[in-house]
Amino acid sequence: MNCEEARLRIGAEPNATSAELEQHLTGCEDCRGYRVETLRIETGIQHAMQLPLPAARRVPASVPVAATVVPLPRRASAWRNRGWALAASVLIAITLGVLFGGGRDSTALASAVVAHMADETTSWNESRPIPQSALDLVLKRAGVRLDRAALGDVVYAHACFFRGRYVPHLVVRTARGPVTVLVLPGEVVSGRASFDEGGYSGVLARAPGGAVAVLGRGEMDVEDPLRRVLVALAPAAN
Amino acid sequence: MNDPDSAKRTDRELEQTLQSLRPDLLRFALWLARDVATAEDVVQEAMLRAWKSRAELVDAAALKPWLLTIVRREHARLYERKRLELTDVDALVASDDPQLAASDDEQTRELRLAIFRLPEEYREPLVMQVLGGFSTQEIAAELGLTQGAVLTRLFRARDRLREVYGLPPRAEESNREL
Repeated sequence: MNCEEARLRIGAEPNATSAELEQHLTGCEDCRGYRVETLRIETGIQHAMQLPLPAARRVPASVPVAATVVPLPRRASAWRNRGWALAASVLIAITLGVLFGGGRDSTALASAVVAHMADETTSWNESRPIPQSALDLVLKRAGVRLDRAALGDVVYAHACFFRGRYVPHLVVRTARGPVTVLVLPGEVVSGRASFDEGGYSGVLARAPGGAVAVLGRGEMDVEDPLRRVLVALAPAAN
Repeated sequence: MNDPDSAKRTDRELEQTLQSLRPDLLRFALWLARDVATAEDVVQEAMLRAWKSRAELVDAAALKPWLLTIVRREHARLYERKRLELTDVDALVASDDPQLAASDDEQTRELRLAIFRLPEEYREPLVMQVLGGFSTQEIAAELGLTQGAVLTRLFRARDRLREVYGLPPRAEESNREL
């Protein structure tokens, strides 16, 4: 191995070596010096590449509005024949059972929501409203439209990877303390379902395009936050 | 037979692992894309792809390189699709992106700037090697190059960074491929 080959090797893989390279370095002070320089630079490169990353995004306070529950759009039945309607219902139920059965029911979803809380333990430490741009980014990433004015003070917003999707994980400040809101596009719940698990109490409800989970610590009353969320998510509000 | 509880547990574990690896993936994407929003898009898309393809992952130990490969391909795909505009690196580093401008010292800042300024053909294998932990053989396979070409690119990438340390480049004396 000559000096040119040795330097190419060192410059390409500073932390690697070979018997051939070591043999060359034993007799070549210049290349030894080159390796020392390169290893020093390599330490710098490794350090430089550890870029600090952006923190969680935030959004400003929004104006609470009087909340009314907006009923979910009802699907008009096109079936006139009761027999066919019954058969179709059974077929749909079976299909949904196959697609969403087991882990997709409310109990499993509630457990997953509670388990997810462990990943975001610091989210309830936030108290200041976050910038609008940050909320917009989180909602955009999850493909969710939401009227923030209806929601209340959002003090935390993050697009979380949850059951194979990006979902908005929000914390809303209320008079009784913070509540977490997970908007869950594509999730299917049969109706409202309360849960009390792992020190959290909350409710799952159907929402446009999927479901929503609202939960707080202990025996938090989540009814009012849920109403606000449903208003904020209602298509008419967007 | 598939155990549904086990499958759910595995999915949950993968979900947590994906979340925990997100910063590394984002950092990797950021070095490739040189733009925070693009990097976030790339990582988001990559994680969704990874989730959909999770059945293909046989060896859990290979998860990180697998994900990094998906990120790299997603970035390449985005680049092909959109032909991203070239980033003004000076503006990027001095911009309101504090995560890019922030550094422990002036030399680190200069080094970051110098790495961002490297041509993609040098920067990409360097990031793959240093941040991704890929071997030169793996980089060659991923980039469709010979291993010798990868070694040369890595050498030239580092050679250009010597300037930050006030050292002369050695490329003039090493122009051939290994």
